[in-house]
Amino acid sequence: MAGKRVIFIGIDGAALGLVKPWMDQGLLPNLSRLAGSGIMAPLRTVVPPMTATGWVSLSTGKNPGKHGVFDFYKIAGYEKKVISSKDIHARHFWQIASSAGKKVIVVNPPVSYPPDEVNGYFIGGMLTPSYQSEYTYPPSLKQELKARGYSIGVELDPGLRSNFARSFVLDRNKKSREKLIKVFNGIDETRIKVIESLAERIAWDLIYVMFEGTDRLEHYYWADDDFYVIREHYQKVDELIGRLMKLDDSNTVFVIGSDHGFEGIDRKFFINNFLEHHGLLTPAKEASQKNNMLKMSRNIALALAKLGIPVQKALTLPFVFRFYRGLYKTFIDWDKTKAFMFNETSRGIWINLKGRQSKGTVDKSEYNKVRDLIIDELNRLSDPRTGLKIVSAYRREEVFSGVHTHNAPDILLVTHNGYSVEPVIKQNSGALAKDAFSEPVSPGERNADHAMDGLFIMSGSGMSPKEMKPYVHITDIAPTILSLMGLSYPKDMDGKPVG
Amino acid sequence: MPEYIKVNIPLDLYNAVKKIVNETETRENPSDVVSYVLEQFAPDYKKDVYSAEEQKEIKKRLKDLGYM
Repeated sequence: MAGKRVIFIGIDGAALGLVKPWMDQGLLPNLSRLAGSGIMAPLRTVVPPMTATGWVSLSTGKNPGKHGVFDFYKIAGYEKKVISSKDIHARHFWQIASSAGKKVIVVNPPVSYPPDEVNGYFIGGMLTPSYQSEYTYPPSLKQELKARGYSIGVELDPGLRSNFARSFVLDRNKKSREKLIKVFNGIDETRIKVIESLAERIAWDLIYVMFEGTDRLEHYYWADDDFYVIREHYQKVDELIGRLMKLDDSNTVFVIGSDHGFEGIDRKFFINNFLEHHGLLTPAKEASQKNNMLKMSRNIALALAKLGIPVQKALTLPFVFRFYRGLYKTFIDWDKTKAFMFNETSRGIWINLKGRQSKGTVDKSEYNKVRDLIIDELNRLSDPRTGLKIVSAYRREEVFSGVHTHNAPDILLVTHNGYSVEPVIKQNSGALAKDAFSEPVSPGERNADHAMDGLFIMSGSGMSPKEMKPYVHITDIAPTILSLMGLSYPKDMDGKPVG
Repeated sequence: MPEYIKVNIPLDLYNAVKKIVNETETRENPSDVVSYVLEQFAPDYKKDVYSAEEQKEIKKRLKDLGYM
């Protein structure tokens, strides 16, 4: 089969439900053109719907149990370490294409440090340590990127890096927002200029590019008054997609995908407080001291508010924000704890298992009993104040298959109805309803989070408009791209080509 | 590169490889077998790619993004 050229465009956090109204209003003309001449569908992601798991599953065609990435971190006992590309135990579609002799240009995949040596060009993305790191292949490409002012990503952009949280949380006036949009748009503009330049140098067969700014803005600008920030950035991304469409030589197929969808957060669910109320977790003694410090910080913030700094700003001053979010680790008395959430990016609960955790309290013989108890309680749980269901909880082997499943958290969570899950432990007041659930989040907070259904669009050479499918699975993307290129795909990929 | 390399391996390693190949469809993707075996029998084969300072910096960056 003669292979086609493929341009894959990743849009972090893009959801069909988010972009479709803008497409209908004519605000995203290039996405509309592609969707109107091909296939569009929700893209169902893997559990948990997170950046690292989603992107790696998309590009390997495998579930996390096979590729081994469950989080930004790998957990050993009570320690977490940031993962690297060496922790991915499966091949990306660009690696398979490259090995088959295809020329590839790969730009900004997450979890891509150290970079892949490919038949073409490779520019690493999220989790690259710094600009001093060797993040390109060939290595000489780095100097050219430096001269062009290329940004590895929004987290490393010189204009945002000095205080990233501050950019989002504090600078919410119109002028600052305009500056923020300009920086985000500039990062992607340079990215596309680099791709246009590289595409002139080789007879490429595959281009991969990922835009991450969409996700970062969605987390913080979901409120009605702020929503235009997200929309304006999507309009820029759409314009850049139009530039990539000019690379079409009539034998090119465009595939667009996202790592997960997005939805607004109304309230937070404090999972470790829930476990505490069920006698499964005990905070450490210093917890009360630190909670007192937190209260004191808040009082200082309120005092600042009286001096003219708006309350919302004062409460979210970086030192308060970071203090609040950085404390939880020392909150837990491991000797008196049977289960805990270590970090929210896994959306997982660990059983404090003897032989695995150094201060494990649960015997192997008790493991299933404790785990099933937690799962049952969580699946029956609703917020006493709203009556809404919070999460669905799963045994890890229910959602993963493969030789690396044993490295996953014991219980995986999918949130519902606008709840997010937080590992932070609040001071115990004796009332579950008060301790485990937050008040409604304010526009000044992180007010949206990941959801299961993202965005899939495929259009190009040899394709005609098709009816929308109920959904395409994220692991279908890799075999689809390899098949379009006339290549076979590993039979242990979980996905199948989209027809 | 030779297609096959003949080596003497311990019986438990042989059984582990045989088990994993039989239980999964990894014949199509030998890297899964290799990484699994290395993980089981030589857990130190992967050295950390990040320095302690880089680990700290990336964790801070993720925390600033709101990811704990």
